[in-house]
Amino acid sequence: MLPPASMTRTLLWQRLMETFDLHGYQRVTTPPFEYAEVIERGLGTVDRRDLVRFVEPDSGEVALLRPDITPQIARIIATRLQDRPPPWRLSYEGTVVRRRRGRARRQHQVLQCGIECVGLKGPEADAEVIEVAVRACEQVGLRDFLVELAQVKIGAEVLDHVPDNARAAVVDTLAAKDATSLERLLKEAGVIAGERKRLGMLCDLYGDRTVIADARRRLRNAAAKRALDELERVVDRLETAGLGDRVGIDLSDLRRQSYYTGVSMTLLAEGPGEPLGLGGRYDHLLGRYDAPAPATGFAFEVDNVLWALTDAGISLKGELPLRVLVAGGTFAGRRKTADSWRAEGARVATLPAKSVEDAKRYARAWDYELLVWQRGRTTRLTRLRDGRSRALNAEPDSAVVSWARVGNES
Amino acid sequence: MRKRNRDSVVIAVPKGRVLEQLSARFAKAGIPTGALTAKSRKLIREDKAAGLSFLLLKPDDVPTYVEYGVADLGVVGRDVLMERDYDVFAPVDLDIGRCRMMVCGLPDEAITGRGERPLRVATKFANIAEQHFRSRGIPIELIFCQGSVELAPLTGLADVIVDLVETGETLRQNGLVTLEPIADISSVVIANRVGLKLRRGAIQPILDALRG
Repeated sequence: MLPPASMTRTLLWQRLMETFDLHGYQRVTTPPFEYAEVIERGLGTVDRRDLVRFVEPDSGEVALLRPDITPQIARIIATRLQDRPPPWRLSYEGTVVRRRRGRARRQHQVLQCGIECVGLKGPEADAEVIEVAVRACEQVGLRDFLVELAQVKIGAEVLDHVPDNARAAVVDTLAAKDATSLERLLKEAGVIAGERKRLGMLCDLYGDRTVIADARRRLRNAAAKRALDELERVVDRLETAGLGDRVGIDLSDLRRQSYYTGVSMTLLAEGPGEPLGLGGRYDHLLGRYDAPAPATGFAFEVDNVLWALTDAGISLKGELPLRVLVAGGTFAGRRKTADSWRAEGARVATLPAKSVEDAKRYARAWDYELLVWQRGRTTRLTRLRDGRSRALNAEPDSAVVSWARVGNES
Repeated sequence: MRKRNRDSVVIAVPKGRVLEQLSARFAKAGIPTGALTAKSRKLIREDKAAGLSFLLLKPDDVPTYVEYGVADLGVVGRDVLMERDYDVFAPVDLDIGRCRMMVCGLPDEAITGRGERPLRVATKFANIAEQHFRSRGIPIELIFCQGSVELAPLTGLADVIVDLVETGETLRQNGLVTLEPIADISSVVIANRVGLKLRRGAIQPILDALRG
């Protein structure tokens, strides 16, 4: 990725991380590759066939490029943060690597940033993580998006009647809302008609929160009722937080039920055609690292957020600091002038150009907004975007900085 | 790159054989098909009044357009969905374009292989064939063929083929028989996972009409 796109992308994940920070999530950094044994113990949302493994030459151990950061965080908490009291509120940013078989084998490297809230059970923690994700989206300017909630616990109950060897296919077919294949599959697996009907209607159980009441009428046993209660308590808290109209429900997606243990969510917006991020409750993961604790978390796929912003016509470019090129004059003069602009918060480079035309050409090619051209004692400012220029006889100040930003001039 | 217009529902349809059946099915469901059936070489057919836009694609490309959300809905054979993993909804089976994915070969062919070497399987559907024989525990040598795959057993290129069988007429004329069924195939309506959720008001009525 090249400038200036690489800079708006950096600004984007930094801004997402700022919102995490604002809610008390503290940053940890983890290594990009790990021993396979460590990561694989905690894998849930990533298909094993998507892993990029290799043999570490020094030790002969199998290592892998991390496909997910959450297992790393879980291990840090289990091994190095046990002396601090729960809850642990941690955030991270980093690249994960997957061999994606789907989606035209599009991306292998995915930049993620996310949060984990470990040590808190109950709907408040679920709602907290969801709210932080929503606030992060709002903070970067995204307005139209949907938080879709699922409850994998429904799966434990409805899949009870499906033979083990058919479950994976049933879950996939349900997630595709493919009622026709589902019926055929269940028939072949010898599932009785009543159960087939119950599973089939899950395909259509999605929409706003009225879906929960609808599900209550159709799934009457105690386990399903508890699962729906749990989901409803999270929705209630999101409504209290003023996020009611952003919430959607889909009860047919049970795909990550080996990993998630309660309410899970995906964040949807127009653009990438797939979620901007996903998360949920995963109360069993920490136990796999011998430090059992309830946990919930969320991660953004940064490029999908960027895609959604672009689709919505929102650019972060205007929020990058002013970019200034100081050219002409003497080495000492350029140094001094550059520092005076840096003191005003600008990003400044110098160039010993032969002519003002050379300097302009360079500045345009590298996306500078302002050229500061020095000759003898005079300094001339040129705005690259519209070519307007003016003299500057003093040190730069905030007024001249805002003149330099097209659209902000007073 | 042009930005897609989200005021209309974009439907990706396959060019070719199924399109005629499909238009009839759409018309029966009350979906305006004027733009779809018009004689034209245009690949994008817009019907502004109906809020619809059709993309005419090669069948294999339909799920790709839907998965990326460039199209909201698409119509595709289950064989295409089986051959590769696409993360899309498949909420309506149209029950048109019916056929079966089968293992076929010469009448005396033993489907378990010959003992001296793995069974040679010629097909366009590499993943479906591999998955099928793996689940049967039969080792195979996969031979990729684009078309006229019936030739493979006749010329000795392969022992059997995996292919779509509609009436079985091509097989018969070439002296081949069906040996084992793999799956029932029909055309399904697929939907992008995000679009259906964000613009359900516009998309759901189309699904309901097609289901009816």
